Amino acid sequence: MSLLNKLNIILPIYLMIVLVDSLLMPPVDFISISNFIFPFALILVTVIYRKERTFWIIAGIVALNVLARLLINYWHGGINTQEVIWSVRWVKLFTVAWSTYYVFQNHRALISKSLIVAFSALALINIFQLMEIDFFLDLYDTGDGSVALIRNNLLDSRVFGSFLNPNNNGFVMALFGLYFLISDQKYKYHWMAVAFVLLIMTQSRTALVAFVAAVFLWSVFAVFRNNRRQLLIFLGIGLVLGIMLIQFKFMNLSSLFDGTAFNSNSVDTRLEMIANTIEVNSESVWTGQGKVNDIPSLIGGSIDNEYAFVYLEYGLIGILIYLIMLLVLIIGSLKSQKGSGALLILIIAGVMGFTNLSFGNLETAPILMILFTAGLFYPLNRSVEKTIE
Amino acid sequence: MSESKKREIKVMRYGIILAVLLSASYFLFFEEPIVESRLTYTLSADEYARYSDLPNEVIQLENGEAYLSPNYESISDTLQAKGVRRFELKKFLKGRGENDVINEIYFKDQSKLEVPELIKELDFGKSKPVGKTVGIALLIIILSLLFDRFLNGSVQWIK
Repeated sequence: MSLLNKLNIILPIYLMIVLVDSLLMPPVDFISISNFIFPFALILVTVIYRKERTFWIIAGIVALNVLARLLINYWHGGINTQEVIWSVRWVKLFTVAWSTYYVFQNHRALISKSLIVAFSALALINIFQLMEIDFFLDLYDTGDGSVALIRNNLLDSRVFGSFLNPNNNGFVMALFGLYFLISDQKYKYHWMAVAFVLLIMTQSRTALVAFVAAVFLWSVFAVFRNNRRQLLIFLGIGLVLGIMLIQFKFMNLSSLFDGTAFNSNSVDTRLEMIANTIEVNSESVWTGQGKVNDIPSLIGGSIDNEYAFVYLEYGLIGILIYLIMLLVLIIGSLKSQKGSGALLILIIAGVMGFTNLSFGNLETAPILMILFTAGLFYPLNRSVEKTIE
Repeated sequence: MSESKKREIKVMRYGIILAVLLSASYFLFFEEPIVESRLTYTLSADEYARYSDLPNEVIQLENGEAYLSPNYESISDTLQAKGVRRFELKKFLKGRGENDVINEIYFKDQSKLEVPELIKELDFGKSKPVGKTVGIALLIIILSLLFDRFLNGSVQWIK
């Protein structure tokens, strides 16, 4: 065995640590051991995939993205360490994606089972929070009143898992639900149902809309073409969802159906913040503001929109590079397996971006990249159910 | 069908049956219904400022528990010109409790305010929370899924 082959074990280890960081650690800060291994993982994936054209195309876009951000920051008064780290996070996501690609190619059973174990642990955290077990509420308490709301509210409150807020939790549940749907995991529908029920318990409206949109697209590819049994399963799930919303008073989700969600304080505030962002950037349309450390003081509130966020910090140049990156990911997901499930993962991220951060979210972006890359290995129109056992 | 396949099916089958039975039993026999209503209060514009930042509060009653959450958004401000303001309290009641007693504790004892005039109570019906029920069901299903993997010997981690 060559030295390179021996060193490659770093990549699965790196990926396991990223999974633990992203899914299981309390959201106290973003310093983690994976950041120390990241440079070694980057060197390894570069050595392994140095002859792959796709690797260099994506590396070029990531480099362009980082370079543009650094130059824009320089343009707006110099670069500090924080801005460098903020820009370099794209390189980390690139490394996570290619590490996942390597591990999927060479240790598929390992990554499949690791994703199951990591999801199970996250699901258990959510379950114990639903059951109001103090240890799991206090361990992941973000100090913003979510725990008090769960403890005090006599009806159901929004469960937040190991994340800063229920929307991030719902986003990750939607990603895992879709991953199980397209994967060849044993009992994949059971796993998907667990993710889906937990998504409902987060009461994240955008995550639900994103998930339903992605499943609908999947059904166009897979169900109507190949399998009526799957269609019946999804009709059943839809029925259960309807009964839950009506019977158990999930106020946040029900508002999607009675229209109040589209005429609410939440939507109005988000639209106002987008308008404020456009106004703030009126004199720097192309380059934005550079890295902004205190967004509320600049636009009057939290931004909660991926596209407005990119535009605020890096203007139209940032948006253009962001769209190129998305286009490359879409082309990649369509080319792989003659249409891979990764496209559905992108749809979830795209929809979530309208009311939250997706790629720009430090909490959820690594797991988004891992599941996107995993999705590249599964065809969208799988006709025969297979399991990996 | 092989022996191992038969065992695989049984783990999940018993898991799901157990999950349904336990969670349904908990929901039907142990989870208490919550009565939800909205109380609308009226007061003068002068007094309103003191009532505009009331907290979410859990109140322990003799035969129950109430969770009160003020809601200012949905009440129209059109009466403001006439010197009248209104606000709502969302009331979630477990067990039994009279409005007079709840008002006394919420306003007088906890916020040191006079009880404003209650002009309307809208009943939003009864429902039960599902968090613990869902938690029980999912816990059993997750454990069944994990046990199934281990019982069927599929613990080969590195290809």
